[in-house]
Formats: sequence, structure tokens, C-alpha cells
Amino acid sequence: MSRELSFSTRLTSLLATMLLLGCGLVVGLNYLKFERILLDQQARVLEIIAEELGRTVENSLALGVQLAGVPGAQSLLERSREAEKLIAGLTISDTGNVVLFDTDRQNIGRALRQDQLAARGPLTGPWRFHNSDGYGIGAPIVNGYGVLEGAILLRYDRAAVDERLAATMLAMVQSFMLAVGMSVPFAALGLHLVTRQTRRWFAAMEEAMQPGAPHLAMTAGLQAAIADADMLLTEAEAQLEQIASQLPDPSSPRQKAAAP
Amino acid sequence: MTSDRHLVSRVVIVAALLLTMAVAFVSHSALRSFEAELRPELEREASVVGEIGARTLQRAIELGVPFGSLSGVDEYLVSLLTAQQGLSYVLLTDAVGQTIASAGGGVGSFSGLPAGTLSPQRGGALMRQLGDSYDAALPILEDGRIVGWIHVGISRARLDSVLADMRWDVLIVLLVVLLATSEFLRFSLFRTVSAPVDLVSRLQARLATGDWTTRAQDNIVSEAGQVVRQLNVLVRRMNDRWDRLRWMATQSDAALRAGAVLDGVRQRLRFGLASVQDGLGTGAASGRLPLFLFVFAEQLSTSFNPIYALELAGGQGGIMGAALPIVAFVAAVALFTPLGGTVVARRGPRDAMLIGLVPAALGHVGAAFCTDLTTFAIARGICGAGYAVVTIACQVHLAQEAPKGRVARSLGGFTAAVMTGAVCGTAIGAVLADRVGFRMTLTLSMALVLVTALLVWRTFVAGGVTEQKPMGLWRSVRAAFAEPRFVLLVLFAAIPAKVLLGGFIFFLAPLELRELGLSQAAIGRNVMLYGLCMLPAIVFGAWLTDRTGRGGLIITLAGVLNGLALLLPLWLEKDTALPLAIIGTGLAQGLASAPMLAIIPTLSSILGAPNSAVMLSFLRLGERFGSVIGPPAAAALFALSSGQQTMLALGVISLATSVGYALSLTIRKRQQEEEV
Repeated sequence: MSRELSFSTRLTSLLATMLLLGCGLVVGLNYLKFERILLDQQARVLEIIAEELGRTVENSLALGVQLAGVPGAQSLLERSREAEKLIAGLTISDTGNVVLFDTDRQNIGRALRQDQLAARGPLTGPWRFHNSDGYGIGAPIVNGYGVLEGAILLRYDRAAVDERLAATMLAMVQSFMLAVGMSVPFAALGLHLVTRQTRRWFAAMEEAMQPGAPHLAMTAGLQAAIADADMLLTEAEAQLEQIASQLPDPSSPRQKAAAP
Repeated sequence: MTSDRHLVSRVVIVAALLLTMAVAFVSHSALRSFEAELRPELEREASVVGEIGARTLQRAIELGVPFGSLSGVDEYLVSLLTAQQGLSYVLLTDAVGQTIASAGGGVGSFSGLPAGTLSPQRGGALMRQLGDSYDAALPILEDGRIVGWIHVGISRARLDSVLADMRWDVLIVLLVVLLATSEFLRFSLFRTVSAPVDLVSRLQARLATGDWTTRAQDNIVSEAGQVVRQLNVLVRRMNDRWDRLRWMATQSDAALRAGAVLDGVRQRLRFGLASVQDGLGTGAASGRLPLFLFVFAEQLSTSFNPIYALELAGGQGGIMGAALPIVAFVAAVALFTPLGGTVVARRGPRDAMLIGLVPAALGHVGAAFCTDLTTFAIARGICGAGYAVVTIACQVHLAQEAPKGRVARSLGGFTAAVMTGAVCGTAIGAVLADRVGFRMTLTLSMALVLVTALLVWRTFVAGGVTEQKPMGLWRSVRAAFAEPRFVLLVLFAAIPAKVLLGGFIFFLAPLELRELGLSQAAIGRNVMLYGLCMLPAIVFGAWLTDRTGRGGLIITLAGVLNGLALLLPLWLEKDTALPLAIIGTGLAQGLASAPMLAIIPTLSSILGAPNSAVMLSFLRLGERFGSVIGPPAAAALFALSSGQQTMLALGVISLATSVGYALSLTIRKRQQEEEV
């Protein structure tokens, strides 16, 4: 018959579960925080680039040119995209949200999607957006008179962040496995040692109930109770056997029934 | 054998050591790896700003302005610096590293690049770490040779602040895991060691008196199960021998003598297997884990309830809107507390807990999927109804299961479990909400409530209705408040304690800490001191009450301590006085907690008084009343005066009520002595 798990094994399993939970929480929560911070940091860098591009366009507007007629705007966008591998696409739109210039020329003339627009109006400064196509940053384009002329939108994906996250995750998973792998045997050993006395007590109790068990101080009460009952029953058995082996008692019902 | 407490302590120490080392190792490795991955991104930010500056200066040189004659450079560098947060300096040096123009306060530790430094390959910036900044240097060229460098320093402060925040989060995770592990281990040890040892001891004591009629239930696991099964075999074997003796006696021809032998045995031993088997019972200790899990689940949302409410209101409703779900919860708890007492008295703690867990789980689901402020407030109200029933049921269970003479310690276990759950839930709930959002955190709350229900269903024993003294609500109210000691307890101890908790800890302390310029995380950590200090104080208060039997005196001293803690701004600076006042409040409320509960069974035993469940529910009702009036009372005082004066006023209230409580008890005691 298979013996069931000892209580120290159960405690070790519980502790191993809590180790997994604790270390897993640290890894999971840190991963989510890393992700947010790295995405934010990437957005900060790209926001600087988007604003700088917006300023370059604004300088051209200062010469009195309309946004749609800024010379070299299309090539500025294409050059900038080439120079920065994180950029997935660049767009310049007018105040009616119609695309004037785009690194993907097919988009020119189309309207911007609602989820790309600034929630509180473009004049409040740069904004960030996130949709099914990826991430993006918008920056307003304002002319020398402070009038809004349009916006520049920079689209990017999170591949670079994912690479860094994967590296971090790998390091965390390695340390997680190492920590849990080292801790569980130590937990088993530690718990085995601290529960030694309790296990001895259980073993002694079990042994004390076996016939002919040696006398132990920790089970003295139980052994005394067993010995008392055993002695009493043995004596009674002996007495009954002695009675049975003696002459029949004339007062017994059997003898009376047998009498003529 | 080692006593239960020593065994629990040793096991918890082993667990704490291993968990701390493992979590510290994983977090250290995670933070190191994160620093390594974030640093290039920070350097890149400096590099991009540097490229913008270098391009502008380069354009001027290309237009024919000699490097040495560039004008307005200082102003330009200032504009670059101010355009981007987190930069410590922007400066321009010549080819030998001498500063020509600079902006920013972090230039103290700057040293220029030596003459002859080559331009970085493939363009880009030359990166160095200078003091607390990462320095990005970009060359300025004139006629193809380097004439100067533009340096952009980005402070490490942002990285350090993020790392510090993450270390705090890791500490919170560690604290929560340690406390939860301790609860789980305590529960497991109770089921596999303490309770079976008690059972074996009980059976052994019976055997010692010659009682061979009782066996143990055979649903016990591990070594204890083996022992119990052996014990059952032993009892069975002895009963078999007795049966054999009886059979021998019936076969005997000498009935009188044989009967005399059996009578001799009967005088010293009793046989015959009873139909009822002795079991482990539920035990006070095993009641802690479900309570801990339930409060943990409930408190996960504590840190963000008002924020979530504001979000759902879409900016409408203001502060009153943010307070609505909290008010709905507290009001529901207050309203359903008496009903909870009745349910417990009628159905027993186990059934009452299972009943109470249903609205609690539904409330969390409702909160997770609600679409507006009204439905969120209704969902929180439903949670409050469940909370009222479950907490009352748990208290009654602990009171019923408490060993004689250890009622205060057992009931102290209730408050300790509630506070442990509250500290863990509040702390980890904030971190979880930050990472996975409010709705996911609330869904997790619901899952934890289901785990609690499963645990109660599996481990609690049905029944516990024995104490029932059927009495209508109004009769119960009259009977409970007819006892002057109960009235004094509610008016001078329970209500003031919760007024201080709601008014100072939940309302005033966060506002005053914010006044000191502390971040939200630091405010949270300071407020958490309350729970952390309360935990050991509860254990000490319970031990002291059981030891001395002077519950009234302990409640009075705790009130005085709380009052003095709130008067600390009279003698100390606010930045020292506030954390100390929070600590003092935690210690005082922890000390008073167990004696307040321990008085209830005594008062309930008085002729005509309602049962413990109903009296506990009235005590809780008083506390809820204090919780409801605490924040608005503190807000009104705050509006009329200042934060410091509000603290002083609350301190005076605490001193006055505790002195009043002591005087009333003394007067009543003298009256009783005179009557005798």
C-alpha cells in the first residue's frame, strides 16, 4: 500500500508553491513595469524627433508658405524615416485632418483616423496614440502667428522594445529557475530538520501501540493506558478460562436444565 | 513534543528566510538586467538631443560663421535644455575640452574630452558616465576637423527613481508573500499537526480513564492519520477482546462467577463503540485563513476605489462622486451587520459564511464589469452586504472555537487576520492595478472569494447554532443596550476608535503627507505603517488580556496612547509627528482590539442578554457608525481650522473618551461593590 505524503512533504509543497508564486509575481510585475517604462522611454525619444521635424516645417511656414506647399516636406519625411530605423512612417496633415505628405504616398489625400487625433485638441502639445496598427506620436504644426496649420504624425512599432523585453525576461526567467531550483531542496531540508521532533512524536505514538513496544517517556501515558487495559483483560481471560476448566457450577442454568 | 507555537515559528522562519533570499535574488537580477536595458535608451535620448544641437551649430558653421565667432550659443543651449525634461546639462566645449558655453545645474562633475579624441565611428555620439549623468558628446566639424564638442548630460535620477519604485514594489510583494505564506503554513500545520495531536491527546486521556468507546474519524492525513488509524485499530482490538470475554462468560457453566469477573472489568473499563467519532473540528486557527483570503480579496481595490469611481464618472461628480462607492460599501456593511448576526445565530457560522460569500463575489464581478458610477456604487454596496455577514460569521466561529481562557487571543486572531489581509490586499492591490488595470484586479478579487468559499465548504464543520437565543431585533437592541458595560464600550471605545481610524488614517493623514511634498507611493507606505504596527499590537493586546483579565484598563490605556500620538504635533515637527501619530494609532487600536471583542462573550452570558453573535453585530454596527462619521467630521474640522488643529482635536477626543470610559467603569464597579 502506498504511504500518503508526510506533513513535512506537504509543508515543502506549500512552501515551493509560495516560492513559485512570490518569484513569479516579482518577475511578472517587473516585466509589466519594464514594458511600460521602455515604451515610455522610446516614445520620449521619438517625441523629440517628431517635435524637431515639426519645428523644421514651422521654420518653412515662417517664410509665408502654406503647409501644403512647403518645399521639400515629402523628402524631409522620407529622409527622416531612412535615418531612424524605429520610425515606421511619417505623416503631415492639415487642420482638416487630411494627409498632405506621407512616407507612404498612397495615404496622401486621405483623412486621418479618429484614433490618431489628439484627444484634447492638437494645440495642447504633442500627444501619443495607440491603435491596432501600432503606436504613434503627434505634434502640432503652428505658424509664426500662433495659428494651427496642421500636425505631424510619427508612427512606430514596438519591435525594439520587445527585443529589450525579451532579453530582460530571459534574465529574469533564468534567475527565477535558479532561485526556485535552489530554494526547494533547501526548503525540504530545512523543514525536515525543524519538524524532526514532531515526526519522532508521531512515530513513537505509532510504535507505542504495537504489541511489545519498548517503554518511551513521550508515550508513557498511552502505554500505561494500554498496559492497564491489557492486564485487566488478560487477567479476566485467565479467570474465565480457569472457571471453564473447573467443575460445573450447579447453580448454572445449563446444569439445572440437564438435571433430572 | 515541541509546542505548536514553536513548531509554527520555526517553520515560518525557514519559509521567511528562503522566500526572502529567493525573491531578493530574482529581483536583484531583474533590476540589474532592466538597468542594462534601460541605460542605452536613456543614452539615446541624450544622443538625439545632442544631434539636434550639433546639427543647428553645424548649419551655422556651414553658412560661414567661424566656430569661435558663434553668437547666442548660451541662449540656444538653455532652450535645448528646457525643451526636454530630465537633462542635467547641455554644453559646448572646444576641441581640447574647455567649456565655451553651458546650461543646466548638473555641470559640476563635467570634464571635457581631451584633445585628439576621435569622432565616433558611424556618426552618433560618444557615450560616457559622468557622476550621476550619462554624457553624450557629438563633434562639431569645421573644414573636416573637430573644432568642438556639444555635450548633453541626462540625469540618472529618472532611472534611479524607477529602480527605487520597483524595489519598493518588490518589498511589498515580499511582505505580502511572507504574510500569506505564514497564514497558509499556520493553516496547514493546524490541519496536519496541531489538531490531530489535540485529538490524539483527547483520545489518550479517555483511554487513561478506561474509556474504550470512542474512535477517531479516519479522514486525517499524513503521519497523524497513521497514528489515528493505529489508535482506532487498538480500540477495536480491545473491544474485540471484551466481546470474546463476554462470549466466554455466556459459554461458561459458572454464570455467577463469570459475571463477577466481567463486572470487575466493567468497573475499570468501558467498552462498546460509540456511533459518534471524534474529529479534528474546525478550530479557531483554521478560521483565520478563509478570513484572511476574504479580506485580502476585499482590500485589493481599496487603493483605487475613488480613482476608478472618478474614471467611471468621466470627470463628472467630483469628490462626492469618488466617495459614493466608499459610502455605499460602509453603509451596506452597517445596515447588514445586524442581519448578519441573525443569519449566524440561525444558520451557524459555516452556512452564514457561504451565504455571505455569494453577494461578495457578485459584487466584485459587478465592480469589474460596471459601466458607470451608479452600477459601481451598487456593486460595492453588494460587496458590503457580503462583508458584513462573512465577518460576523467568522467572529462567532472564532469565539465558539476558542479554547477556554483564551477567548481574547482567539478573537485577537480575528483582528490579526483582518489586518494581515488588509495590509496585504491594499499593498499588492495597488501594484496589481498599476500593472494589469482596475477591472482585472477586481476579477482577481472575485476569484479569491471563490477560493475562500471552497475553503469554508471543505474545512468548516456545519452547525454552531447552539448559542441561539431567539429574540427579535428590537428586543435584541433593548437587551444589548440595557447592559451599561456594553453601552460604555460602544460609546467610549468602539465609536471613537473608528472615528480616529476613518478621520485620521484614511482622510487626514494622506492629505497632510501630501502637504509635506511626499509622492503617492511614499504616502501609501506611510499609511501602511498603521496596519504593520497594528498586527503585533493585536497579538500583544490579546496576550495581555488573557494574562491579566484587565480588558477595560487596556482599552483605556490604548485610548490614551492614541490621544497622545495625535497630540505629537504640539512637540514635534510635522514630518516627524505624522508618521509617529500613524504608528501610535496603529499600536493603540491594535492593543484595544482583542479586549473589546473579549468582553462580548462575558456580557452575552448575562441573563437576558442577546447571544454573542448579535452583541458582536451591534458592536460592529457602532464601529461602522464611527467609520461613517469619521471622515466627514475630520473634513469639517479641517475646513474650519487646519490639518494640525484637526489632529489635535481628534487627539483630545480620544483622551476624553478613554478617560470617560475608565471613570464610568470605576464608578459602576464601586456601585456594584456597595450593592453587594
